[in-house]
Amino acid sequence: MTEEQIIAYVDGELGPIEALRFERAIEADPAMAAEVERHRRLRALVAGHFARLADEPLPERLKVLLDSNVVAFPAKRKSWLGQSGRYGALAASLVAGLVAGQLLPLGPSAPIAEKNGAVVAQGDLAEALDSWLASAPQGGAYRIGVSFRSGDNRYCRTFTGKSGAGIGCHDDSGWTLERFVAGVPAGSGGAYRQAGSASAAVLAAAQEMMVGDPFDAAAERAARARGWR
Amino acid sequence: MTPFERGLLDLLPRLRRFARSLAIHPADADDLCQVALEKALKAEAQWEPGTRLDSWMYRIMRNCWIDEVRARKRRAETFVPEEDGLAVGDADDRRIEARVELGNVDRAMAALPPEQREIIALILVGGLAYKEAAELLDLPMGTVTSRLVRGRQALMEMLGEAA
Repeated sequence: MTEEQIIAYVDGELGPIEALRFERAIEADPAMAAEVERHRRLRALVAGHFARLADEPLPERLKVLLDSNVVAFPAKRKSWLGQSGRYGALAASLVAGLVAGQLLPLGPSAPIAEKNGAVVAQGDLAEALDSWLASAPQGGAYRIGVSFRSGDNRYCRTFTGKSGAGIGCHDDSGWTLERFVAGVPAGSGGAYRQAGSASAAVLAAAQEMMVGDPFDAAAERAARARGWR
Repeated sequence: MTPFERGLLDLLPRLRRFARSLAIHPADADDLCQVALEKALKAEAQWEPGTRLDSWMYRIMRNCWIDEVRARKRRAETFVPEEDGLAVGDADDRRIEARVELGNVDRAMAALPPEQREIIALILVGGLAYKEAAELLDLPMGTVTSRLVRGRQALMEMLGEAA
C-alpha cells in the first residue's frame, strides 16, 4: 500500500470494494493500521480546527453585503459608508446604547443624557433628529441617514456625528438612543474598513428594526410634520 | 434578499472556514470573504442555477486569494530590501505570526506553500472530493493527489505528536 492509498482511504475516496480490500489488508498489518490512524488524526485535527469557526458570529460587514435591501438604497448607504473621511475609524467594539453614557461626556452640552434609565438625545443631536431631513442635508455636527418605522411602531432615524453613529427612536420622552457606536478622533490611522464595518453595524441594526422600507423624501417630510408621532 | 443572496448567506459559515484555512489571519480571512462575495455578487449572471454554489464560490475565493498571494510576492520583491524580502515573500507563516498569536494548526497551514495549502483547504476543510478539487483548480487528478500527499506529510512533520 502506498501512502497515497492510505490517504485516499482516510478521505473516503476508495470505492466500496476497494475500501473493503484495504480494510482486510490493514487488519493483517499493524504498522499500516497505525499509519492510517495518524492520517485520520491529522484530518480530524485540521478539519476540527477550522470547523470551530462556525461558532463565531458572522461579521456584520459580510451580512450587510448580502442584503439587497441595503444595496437598493445606494444614496443612503453611501451616507453611512462614505463617512470615514469625516471622522476616521469607529471602534466597532464600542457598540452599545447602555455604555454610551460612559463613553461620552455627560452634561447639559453633551449630545446624549440619561433619563429614567434610557439614553436620550439632547441639544444639537435632538434638534437634528427632530427637524433635519436626510433629503436636505445641512452643514452641522450631525448628518441624518435613514428614517423608518420600527417593529414597535416608533419613528426611528439613523445619524452620524463627530462623537459617533447611532439610531434614535422617538417616544414620549423624546429621542431614545437604541444603538450607538462611539467614534474616535479622525487621523488615528486610516482604518477605512473598520469604519465601514461599524457603520454597517448600525445600518444592519436599522435593517433589523425596520418595518417596511426606509422613508423616501416625502415620507420623511410627512413624519416630521407629525412630530414623529 | 434575493434567493442568490440567501444562498450565499447560508454558505457564509463554510466560506469563512475556507477563507481562514487559506489566509490564516482572521482579519485577512474576512477581507478575503468580503472581496470574494463582492466579486460573486457582480458575477451572479455567470452562476447557473441548479449547479453547486459552494464549488462556484470556492473557486472565486481561491482565485481572489491567489491574486493576493501573487500581489504580495511582487510587492515584497519590489519594495523590501533583500534580507527582509526573503522572509516576507517566502514565509507567510512568519509574516502572519508577527501580527497575531496563532495555534499550531494555523502555523502549520501558513507554512505550507500556496499550491499545497489550497488543496488541503479544499479537501480537508471544504470537504470536496478529489475530483471536485481537480475540476475546481483545473488540475489533473495526479497533481492533486501528489500535492495532497506532500502537504499532509509536511503538516504531520510540523504538528508532530499533536496529529
